Amino acid sequence: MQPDSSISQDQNPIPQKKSGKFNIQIVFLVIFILAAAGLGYWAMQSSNTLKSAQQNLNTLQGEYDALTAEKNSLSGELDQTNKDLASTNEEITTTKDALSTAKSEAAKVNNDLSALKKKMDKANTYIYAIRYIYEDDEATFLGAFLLVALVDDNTLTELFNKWMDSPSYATWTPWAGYAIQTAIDTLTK
Amino acid sequence: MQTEPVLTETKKSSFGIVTVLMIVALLAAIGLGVWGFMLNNDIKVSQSAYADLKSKHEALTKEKNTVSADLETAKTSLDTAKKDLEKAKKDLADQQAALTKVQDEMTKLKANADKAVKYMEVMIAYWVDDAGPDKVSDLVKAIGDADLTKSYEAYRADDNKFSDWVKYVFVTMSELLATK
Repeated sequence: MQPDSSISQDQNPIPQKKSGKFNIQIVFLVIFILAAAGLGYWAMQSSNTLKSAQQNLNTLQGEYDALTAEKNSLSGELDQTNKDLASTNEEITTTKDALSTAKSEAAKVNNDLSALKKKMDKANTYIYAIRYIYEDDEATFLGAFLLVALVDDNTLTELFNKWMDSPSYATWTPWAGYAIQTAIDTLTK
Repeated sequence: MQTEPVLTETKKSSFGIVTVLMIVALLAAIGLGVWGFMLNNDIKVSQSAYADLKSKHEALTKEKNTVSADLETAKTSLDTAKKDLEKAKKDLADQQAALTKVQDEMTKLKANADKAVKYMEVMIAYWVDDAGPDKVSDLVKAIGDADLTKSYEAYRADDNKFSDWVKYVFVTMSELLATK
């Protein structure tokens, strides 16, 4: 029985030792596989996250580029508008200056015109009595006298009175000549 | 004696396969770990770049909005300026038209006054200076008024026509000086 038991003792330890070693390796193998699977899953997730992040970045970059282009376009338009505005304001200034000059000139011409009209009206009063005498068939001394009096020129009135007192060519010529010469002087001086 | 070597071969073979699988799994785990780590770094870089770009995007959006508002203001100012310019141009055109009208009137009145003086000079020559008929005739012709010349010539031919001539001279003179 002894040899038998020794044989059975020799045979038993071998499978027991083999089974123990195998189990530890399997445990490590399982751990490594699980670790690899976990890390693989994590890496896949990270890869997807990276893809998504890069896609978002690209999208944002596209939006940024579009925004940059839009902003540059607006800036260009703003520059042009500001130039147009400056040019228009300059033109307004020039036009207003021209308007001011035209107004001054118009005021001066109006003054000159007014002065000329006054001179012409005054000159007309000097010759109107003579016109009346020759034009109106029913002209009277009184009518002529009133016209002369309207001139409000003492010399003219005096000369006219002389002619009225003693109507003749000799008394006519001084007052008619005075009236006409004064009218000429009024218009030319 | 024959059984032992068989057991040893089985043990060695099992050990080898498991070991190989273990090494492969370990290397795979390490590789995937490294890859995951690198990906994670890339994600961080990408997210950082995204954050930077987003910040720039926001700043640019703000800047663009400012430019847009400035543009609107500038456009409004330009529209106003254009309207002001139109008005100023119209005012200038009106003023120039008024000036031209006044200048024309001035020119016309001056011409009338100058012509009236010529008629007066004829009468001065006749009544005051006692100029001869030929001198008076020259002055009459110089005026360029056919009716006046005709009237004067009629008077020279017939003394009774004197009043007609003088009447024509003074009526014409007076009408030339009329300002209304």
